[in-house]
Amino acid sequence: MHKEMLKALPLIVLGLALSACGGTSVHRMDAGEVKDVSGRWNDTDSRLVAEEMITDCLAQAWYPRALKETDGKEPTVIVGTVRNQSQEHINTDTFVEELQRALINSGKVEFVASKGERGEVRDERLDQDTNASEETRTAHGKETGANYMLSGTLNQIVDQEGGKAVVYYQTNLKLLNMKSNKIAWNGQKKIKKFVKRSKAGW
Amino acid sequence: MGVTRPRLSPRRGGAVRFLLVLPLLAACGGPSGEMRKQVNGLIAARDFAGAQARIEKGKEPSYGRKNQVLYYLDLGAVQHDAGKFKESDQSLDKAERRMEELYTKSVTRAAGTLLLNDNTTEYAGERFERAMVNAYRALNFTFLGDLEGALVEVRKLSRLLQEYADVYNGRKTAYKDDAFGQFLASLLYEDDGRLDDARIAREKSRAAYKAYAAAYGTATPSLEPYGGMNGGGELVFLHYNGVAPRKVSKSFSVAWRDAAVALDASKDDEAESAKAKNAIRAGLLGQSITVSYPDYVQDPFQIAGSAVEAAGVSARTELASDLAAIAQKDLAERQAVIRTRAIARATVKFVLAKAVADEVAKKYGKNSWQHLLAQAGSAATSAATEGADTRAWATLPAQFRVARLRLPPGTHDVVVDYLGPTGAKLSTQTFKDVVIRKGRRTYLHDRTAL
Repeated sequence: MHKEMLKALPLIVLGLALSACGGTSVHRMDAGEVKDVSGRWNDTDSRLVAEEMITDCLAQAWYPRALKETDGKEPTVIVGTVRNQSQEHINTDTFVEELQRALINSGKVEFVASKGERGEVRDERLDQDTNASEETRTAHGKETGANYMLSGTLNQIVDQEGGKAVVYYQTNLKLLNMKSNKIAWNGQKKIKKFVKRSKAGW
Repeated sequence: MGVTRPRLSPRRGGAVRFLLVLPLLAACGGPSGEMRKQVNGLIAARDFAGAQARIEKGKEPSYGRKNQVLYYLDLGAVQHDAGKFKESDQSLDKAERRMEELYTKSVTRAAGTLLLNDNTTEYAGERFERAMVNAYRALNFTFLGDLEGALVEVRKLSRLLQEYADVYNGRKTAYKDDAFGQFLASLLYEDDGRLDDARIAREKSRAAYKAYAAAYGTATPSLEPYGGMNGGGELVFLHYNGVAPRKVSKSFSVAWRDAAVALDASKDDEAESAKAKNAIRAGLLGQSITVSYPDYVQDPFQIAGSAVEAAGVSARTELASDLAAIAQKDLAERQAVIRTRAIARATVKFVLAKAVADEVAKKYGKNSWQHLLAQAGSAATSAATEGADTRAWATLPAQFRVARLRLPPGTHDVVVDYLGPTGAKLSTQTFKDVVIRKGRRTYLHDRTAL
């Protein structure tokens, strides 16, 4: 018994020692490739949710109604705040950018800059008042106002036990008519992931 | 020609195989007690930069690969104390991610460490430490002015505490919820206008404080704002006080033949000296098993409370969380399991050591000097590798204390008096130009370890 234990233990030690070997390797990949590593919200989630929700938004009944109200001119949309109400530090600015890109690329709406971007542009105009020549200055008070605002929340529910978790994301977006305050469209996109972490520890 | 004595060959015999096994049983127990004292001394002197530098200097030599969680915990707390909230959060994020990974290994870990020294496993943190990570991170984001980020941490903390409640409900374990964490959540939810969530968190906090009173002797604080000013703002002052209790290794010997347990430990043994004493004791006794277990020692600190004054309004801080009591109670509840595992581990080592001695006896004779040497040496080596897991988040305070003041809008100097056990003023700290906005909360914190 003792001899058998002693004979086996060196092999165990050797196995543990070898398992510590390793290094860093880098593999380039296409930016559009789907690669889930941690199970958390990632760039793929951001892009897919944005594209799908904008496609749905522009296909709904509010759109032809808006065209009719403006004699066929594309409605003007602004993206407001998307609040992160999840359990992850998600950069919602990235998601907002994806929404903007999807809206612009659709060719079906006119898009105006966000609050932050407008602030930056207005600062530039103020600077032009002081430093630019009269003929090249941009006048104040001629911005295009948005007809609709898109905003929403990103929610998450986690059901976890041990190394297994079901992570559920629900993105809710609303399109508000700026004139009437009516909700023109209410969209929802759900993502569910099953995340399993390895128990191997040695 | 004289007779040549045969020598112990390193290429043969159980001794070599025994040596190969030792790394599994040996300790790599994180920063030493001396380093912990140094860091605490620097914190007490408000030299947070020095404390950070000392921790960073010891990343590899003192912490090592298996204690990276501990490294980032220690670092993150000190960075927070220094007001480096962004860096603190980066450190704590690394710690938290690794803690989450290690959590999934806890099932197999329990079986593995039955035989292995606890120190050989990667440190995953205590349950209350895990909760404090999210509390610190929520505060980091709060001080950075990022309420959304703070609420992410609050939600993570809520889920963690719910998991504790689910797992430990019905068990005789004191720490099932975190009263301070729930209290902090209630404030932050309220700041965000989520009044229902705030109410739920507040109710959970009150329930947890009732449990705290029974388990830790912590009186239920009111934690209500002082001052009757309407139309003003609120200052929330958070006082992180004292030093976390230190884990030390204690040991007792079990006589193999007599099967009797004899407590034979010095008080407040450091891990290193405990190993040396174990080795000497085992070498002399020969036929005994030395068992080590961890215990907490609370280093003294002078400041017992604090009083906050601004714009003519004053309030004393109330004890919102006695981390020292939580830590000690939590360890006490697990002591039986820890000791059982330690005895099993020591028994295995004894069997291995005896096997080595038996092999040598068979080869050289029971009365040979080689056998006596192997017998005493193996036992001494086994004892030298027997050290309890003394790792803990050392840069935590012993207490979280809170005071809330209703103040008029504007800029105020906030004066904090730090008080001894008799209420005598020991020191004063002034925070200049603290902005209070109408209808809003301003959070302020300070760290004392004196």
